[in-house]
Amino acid sequence: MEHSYYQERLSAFADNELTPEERAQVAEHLRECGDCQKRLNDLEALSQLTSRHSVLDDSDYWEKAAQKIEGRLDTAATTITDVTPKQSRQSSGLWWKLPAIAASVVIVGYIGLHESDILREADTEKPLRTLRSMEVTPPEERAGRTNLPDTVVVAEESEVDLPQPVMMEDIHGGRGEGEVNIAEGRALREGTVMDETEGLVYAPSPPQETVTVTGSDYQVLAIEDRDENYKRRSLPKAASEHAETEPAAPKVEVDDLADFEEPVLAETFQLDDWRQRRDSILLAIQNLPPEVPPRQRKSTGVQGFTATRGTDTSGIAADVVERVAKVELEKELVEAWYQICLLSDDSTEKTTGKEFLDSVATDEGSPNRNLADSLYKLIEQQ
Amino acid sequence: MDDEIREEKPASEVSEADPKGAEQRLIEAAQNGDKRAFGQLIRHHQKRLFRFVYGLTGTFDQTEDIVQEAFIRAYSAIGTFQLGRDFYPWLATIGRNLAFNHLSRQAKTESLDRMLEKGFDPTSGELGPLEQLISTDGQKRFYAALKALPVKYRTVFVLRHLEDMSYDRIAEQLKIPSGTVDSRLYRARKLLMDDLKDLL
Repeated sequence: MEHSYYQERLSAFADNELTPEERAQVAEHLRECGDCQKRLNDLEALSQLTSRHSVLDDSDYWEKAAQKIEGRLDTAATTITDVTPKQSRQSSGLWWKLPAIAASVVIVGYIGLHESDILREADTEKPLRTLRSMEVTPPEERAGRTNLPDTVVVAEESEVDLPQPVMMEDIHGGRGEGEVNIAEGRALREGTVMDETEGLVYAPSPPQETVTVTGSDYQVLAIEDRDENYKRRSLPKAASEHAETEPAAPKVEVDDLADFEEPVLAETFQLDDWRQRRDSILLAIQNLPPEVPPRQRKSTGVQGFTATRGTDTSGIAADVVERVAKVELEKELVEAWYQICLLSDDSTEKTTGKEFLDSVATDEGSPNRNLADSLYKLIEQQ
Repeated sequence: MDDEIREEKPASEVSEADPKGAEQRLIEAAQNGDKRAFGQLIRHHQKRLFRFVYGLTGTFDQTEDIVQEAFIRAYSAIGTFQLGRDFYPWLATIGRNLAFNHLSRQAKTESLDRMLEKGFDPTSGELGPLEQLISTDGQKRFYAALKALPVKYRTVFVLRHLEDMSYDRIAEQLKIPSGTVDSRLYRARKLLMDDLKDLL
């Protein structure tokens, strides 16, 4: 085995995340390699340093923060509303009737716990993650009723057979069957399961209502008629006691989700995205203020451009802003080029990217040199 | 006899002697509408949640907002919480996803102009408002170094070190392969060790 094989596995070794075979191999290597043993010791030291220095101090801040949150509890949203991820298009006859009777019906979603404990508690005979039938009553029959039946639990995609959300199409004006946009960027596609999703779930078109989703299963509490006459909603247990005296929770205005896409964090940034990002950054750099003549200039070492230093106090603040902006842009550019080098098959492009990383890595004045150096070496190892 | 009306004692704070039992009583009380009980849950968990969310976002203001929102949503959904389970993982899930949503929205929509206007340097030692919560050089160096990590490396590092998640769990949360978790952790640790080597 090459030495790099063991070096690359030290991190996972420290985390006890290797297979037994790999673990034995690395352990054997550690007996002979002082360098790797030192790296392992450093990893352990980093872990201890993190534990020690990540703790936040006691401070007046916490009590004030807690009081601020408590102050908002009174107006906290207790309404939970619409969510239905699109699943398979299988449907029962009942659902096909919904367009006629449920043009303003909303499914109220309410999220249970990860292990579907609520289901387990409620119905131990059925498998945990099964779809229950939903009772639907026409609006005229539902007026004035509260906490209508009942629950639909969605869990693993393969286990789910949700009815076709025809009602969604009707309610949401042709948004497209099965597309429910989770707030803040997560678009659900057909077959997507709300597994471990959190945050607000928006109906894709007005009137928009929201639901708080926690855990891996969501649980529909009720089918609610959006008709204005129907004010009562399924409430969490804590709020239900006050249901008689408290006014109906207001409808929540939500943003138009038309532009939202899948979260970038979930590896959806493709090569073209990185190229666009790179080009945007380069454009931003070009649009920065011009350099000051050399005799007034003090280099910050940021690769490719030179910061200016004002000679009076009014210029210093602007200069600092500009300098930090350039440092940040360079850092973003380093990451963009790194990703392009990883993803691209174009050798010329990869060479250009590596040259840029190398130039930053060797620039003694650049705060980003360590980052660039590490990323450059990672590319070299590919 | 004392004319003063004796109020029912509020749910006690989570105590060291029986933290889990005390917490469960608080949760149960909160489920029955006792806001003060939920207030105790806030006080017990907010620091840890704040640290975690800050590790993900690197921004004090956003962290404040997300932590507040996480508690608000937890309160709204407290009726669904299954007694017997640990409260913090459930709360942290809410906070985590709010943070992820924020990060992905920020990455996609933040204009470069806005970046230029911000006027702060995340690669400097300036931690801004966070400094009211950290006092030692070690804390400041650590958080500055953490903040300087590219977000993808910082995320896995925080999930691993501050939330003690396994590689598989991190992979599941981020929708990436377990091998990618490993390589990102490797990079994150390498960068941090380079930055903090004099503290190791």
